[in-house]
Amino acid sequence: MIHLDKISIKQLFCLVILTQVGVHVLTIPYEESKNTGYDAWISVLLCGVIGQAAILLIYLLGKRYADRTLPQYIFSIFGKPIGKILNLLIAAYYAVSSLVVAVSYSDVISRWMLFTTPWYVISGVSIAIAAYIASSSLRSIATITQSIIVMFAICFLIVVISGTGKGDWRHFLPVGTHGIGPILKDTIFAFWAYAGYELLLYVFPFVHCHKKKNILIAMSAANGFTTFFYVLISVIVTYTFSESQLKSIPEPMIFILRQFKWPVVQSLDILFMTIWLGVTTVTVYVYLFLSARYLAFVRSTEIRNHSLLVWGLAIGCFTAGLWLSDRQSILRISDYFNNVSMIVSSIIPAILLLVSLARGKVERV
Amino acid sequence: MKRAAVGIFMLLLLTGCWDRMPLRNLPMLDVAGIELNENGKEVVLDLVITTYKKAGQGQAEPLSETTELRGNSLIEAIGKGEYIDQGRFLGISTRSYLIGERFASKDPMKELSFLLHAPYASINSSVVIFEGNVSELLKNKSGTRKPLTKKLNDFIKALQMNGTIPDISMMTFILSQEDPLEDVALPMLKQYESGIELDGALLFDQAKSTGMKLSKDQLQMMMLLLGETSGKQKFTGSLPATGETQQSSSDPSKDIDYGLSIKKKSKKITVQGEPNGPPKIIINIRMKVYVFELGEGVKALKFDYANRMEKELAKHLEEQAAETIKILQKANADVLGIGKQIKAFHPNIWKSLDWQKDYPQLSIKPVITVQILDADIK
Amino acid sequence: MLADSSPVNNEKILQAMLSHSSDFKSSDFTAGDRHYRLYYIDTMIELAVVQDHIIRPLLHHPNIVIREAVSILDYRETELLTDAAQALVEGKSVVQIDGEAKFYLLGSELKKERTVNIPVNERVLRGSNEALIENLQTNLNLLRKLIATPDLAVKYYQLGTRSNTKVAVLYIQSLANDEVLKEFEKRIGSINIDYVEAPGFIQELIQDKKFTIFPRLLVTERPDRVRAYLMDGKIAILTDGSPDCLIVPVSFWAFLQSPDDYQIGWLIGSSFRFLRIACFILAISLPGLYVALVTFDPRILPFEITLTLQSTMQYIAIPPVFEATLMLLTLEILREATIRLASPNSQTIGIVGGIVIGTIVVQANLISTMMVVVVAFTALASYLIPSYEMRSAARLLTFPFILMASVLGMLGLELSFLLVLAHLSRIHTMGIPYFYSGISADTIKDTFFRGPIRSLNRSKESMAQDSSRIRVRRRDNK
Repeated sequence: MIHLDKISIKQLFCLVILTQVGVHVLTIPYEESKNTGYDAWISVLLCGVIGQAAILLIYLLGKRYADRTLPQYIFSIFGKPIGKILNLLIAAYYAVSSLVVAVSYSDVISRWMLFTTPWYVISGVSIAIAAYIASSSLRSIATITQSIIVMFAICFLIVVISGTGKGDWRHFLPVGTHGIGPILKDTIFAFWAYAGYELLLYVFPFVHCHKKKNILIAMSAANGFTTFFYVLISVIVTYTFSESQLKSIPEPMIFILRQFKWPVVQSLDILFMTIWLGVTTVTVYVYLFLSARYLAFVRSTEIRNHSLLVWGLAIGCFTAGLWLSDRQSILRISDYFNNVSMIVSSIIPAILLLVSLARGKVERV
Repeated sequence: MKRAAVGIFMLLLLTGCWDRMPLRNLPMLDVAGIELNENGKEVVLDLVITTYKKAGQGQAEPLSETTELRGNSLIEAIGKGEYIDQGRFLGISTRSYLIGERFASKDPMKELSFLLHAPYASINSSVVIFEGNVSELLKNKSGTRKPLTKKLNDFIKALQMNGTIPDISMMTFILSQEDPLEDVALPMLKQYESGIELDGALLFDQAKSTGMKLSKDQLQMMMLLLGETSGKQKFTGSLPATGETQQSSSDPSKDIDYGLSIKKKSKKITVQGEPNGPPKIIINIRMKVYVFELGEGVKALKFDYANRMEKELAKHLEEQAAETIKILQKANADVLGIGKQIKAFHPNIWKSLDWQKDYPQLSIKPVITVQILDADIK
Repeated sequence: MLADSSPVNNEKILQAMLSHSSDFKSSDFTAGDRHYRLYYIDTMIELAVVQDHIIRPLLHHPNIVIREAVSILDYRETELLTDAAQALVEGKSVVQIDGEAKFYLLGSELKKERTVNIPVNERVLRGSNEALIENLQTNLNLLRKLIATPDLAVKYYQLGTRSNTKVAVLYIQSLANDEVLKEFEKRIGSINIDYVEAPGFIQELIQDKKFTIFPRLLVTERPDRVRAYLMDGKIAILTDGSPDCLIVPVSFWAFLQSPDDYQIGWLIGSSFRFLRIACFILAISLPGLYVALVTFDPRILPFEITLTLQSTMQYIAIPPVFEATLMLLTLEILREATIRLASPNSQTIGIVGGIVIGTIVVQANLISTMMVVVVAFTALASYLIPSYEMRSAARLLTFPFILMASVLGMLGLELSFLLVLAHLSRIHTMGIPYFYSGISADTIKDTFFRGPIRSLNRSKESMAQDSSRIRVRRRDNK
């Protein structure tokens, strides 16, 4: 190969942003406003800060084993049997994660855009495309993601334009009256919206950079941008709807997008949801890819046939998704998954780092 | 690539024609008129479909057709639409909703809330109240080919652009039932010879009709108090001669006619807490206006005359504003956003108030300052 | 097979080897006490050269060593009949001294070639107007003239076991990428075919196995473009008998660049390039977008526009999907027809196709006016793409896009974009990725825009080894 299978810093930046941003853009302040009302944007902001701390942990961990990926060096932290089990668990987490994202977005599409199209068509198509992309090399994935950032930019523009409509800044005041307790409680709800930065655990050795510190800067910038985006959406929604109104709209962003009226195009929510499919597909395929990569290390020797693993996982996800076609089960699983993602994104890297430091061994191969 | 091709092939075998909404068969719902019939039991839904005839050679003649549906509730009436005329009516690009007064006075939200979550509904179109018989207005008139709906929609749009009426979409209207601080005033139209005219506004308290109406002038004053600037709006009227109030004007011919358009307007709401009892609210409005008629005829305005007139105008406008505010308070419709102001900036005062009871009792005083910009000579 | 010392026998064998062709001639002449026999194929030799430089000196200098008399540059001696037969076919004259079992092969080829003319397919407003022609020597001459440096390496290959086509491979020694070069030489060396059709066959034989409709080798007939790519460290392939030069390896964005982008100022060049890329996307997706809007999601359009669209399709019998496909097929037929016909007829076809079919089909209520507008616009947009192969790829891609749009609406369009993007990212040429994102800051200056020359030295497209190579040297460079 002439160009090694390495990705650049910019590609890492795009990859992290697009993996973090997913279905939540449509529901953001609603979930967080259950306890905090119009102070939801503070919860969202706080969650971004927590994510930043988790990124620091992951970076430090990755720097200790700068030339290997997590599934490879987990054996030197925990030993073979526990390492294998952990790899399997993380692979399962990623697989279920990608399933939940795919299913959530298919649910959104089937409720707002394609009403009578059968469930298996919508979910099947999104999972199939994600599997096709996930079965290529990391470099191809990074290139595709870099091109999808254009779609994200268009959506960003749409959000900004339609957000500046009728509204009232007084919906925000007085700031912070809901109290620290509810704010912190709602921060937990927002956690899954930020999950995605833990891909650094796998990707660390593949980033082509002059100084390792650039990786940390890129990751922080990506997380910062996602935080900014989410906070912007919360601000726009709170500006448009007052607190009591917000309680009756589970998907406020769609209503805001519908407000937009231009001579040539109106009702931007459909356009937005269509283009946003690209962004959620990034999340799905990155998770699928990571799941397959972790699964590859479960056996003693690495399983080489990457596309077989990916397609196998995809078919598994698809069949599981057939049972999740109603909103209730999706909401239940998402709630449950929120807690799991918190564990995997921040607690597990913390544990790994502590154990690794405690062991004192830094094996350089 | 091969696998992807296979996948797509299989997709084609599914031959999806599920969600097709072919445009050529779609009845384009232009205006939806909703009303209660005379005995108040049945909901009458008038759907106006517009198409273009003779399009293609650069001309297009709009042609409207009305379908009347009746049912015990709005949903039932819509359901009946499946069996009449062109089948399923989809209101995906309804331009405006015309609500009859009777319907509006009888808890419209019970019937209308479903629109918020209905899939194909166009919830961003303006809502207006129609004083009179909606069915009469929208009925197919034989012999006339006047594009009534175009006139209606253009009229509503023009009024909104001028800032004469507030732009209330169906979504805002439905959502206003959730929040006591987000009351709306829906503009009222009425038939006028062969056309339509604006006849003020109907006040709603949490999306329930209060039955109280604002007249055209009061509506204009309310828009002024709301702080929505639009330079095109013209205020006209007549000032009573010096020293007299409007009502006790003894000699109308001595009244000074004025016409002004507002260049810049800034609004400030001040809340003064009172030790016992409800707070005092002062709405401060400063206006910079261009006067094109101030009783001077062709002569240019002199500075001191202009200054005197400023005070007169301010007083006159304050009187009118106070009247409008009184009606708003009586109707318990907080259209001016005073509750929001208190809640946002004075949370302590807010906690001590019971908004539903206290709002009509509040002392709200408008203070208007006018500055005439085009005074010419000393 | 070894030569015989008797010319008569040799002639019989040569005749048999040359399939008893009627244009194989031989002539005898004597000088002094030597008998010479000259074999030649009379359709291939240049009479003047043979008469003045071979026969005359031999006649005037009897008993001389042939090498000292004959003033021909291309001189070879051989004893093999197969060599002699090959030389005869190439247009050389073969001299044999009676009694000697040796052939002297002398170059006397007749050059009949087209004059260097304006490029047929790659017109530009600014820039040179020379085009490569069919003769390999002339092409190499043109290129060497443009790149007058000893660094330019020219390697000959002979491809085709029966056609023996000469192929020349050019690259700049200090700039070309070693690994790509090695890979390329391996591939070209492994070609085993009886005759080569350039550029088509060579294209297929060299490129990677992965199936794709996107072209992976750039074909050009302009020597200035070849020079530009050689300077970027790429490899050029010239074939005898074809005016097309193949450039390898190229990326996706190279097909959307045109030489006159670099001749006009960078601001104007950028706008045109941006327009070109926008038209590429439009050419692929516009009919699909229209079908999706009209069949699935009219909600996106405001009321007045929907009303206008509806009125154009009110009485049309067939659904928009079929309309679109039918019109596009008609367009393809028209395009093919105009290529085949001679000039006077092609104008008629243009009128018949464009005006008559377009107007009448609308008046007969078969196709809506809006569809004609969309299809015409698509056709125009596709003509902005400079490369013929890429244009064909874009034309073909339109059809699956329409299909996906008619199945899933706007979502189908989005999915098709994702699929095409994914497919592009997986293609490799010569081991180098074919598609790189044109959006990031360091690549956008040569993909979507044409940045000023100073900023182009670190362009991603260039794979030059010499990283200190800069395009512009500043005056005060230390």
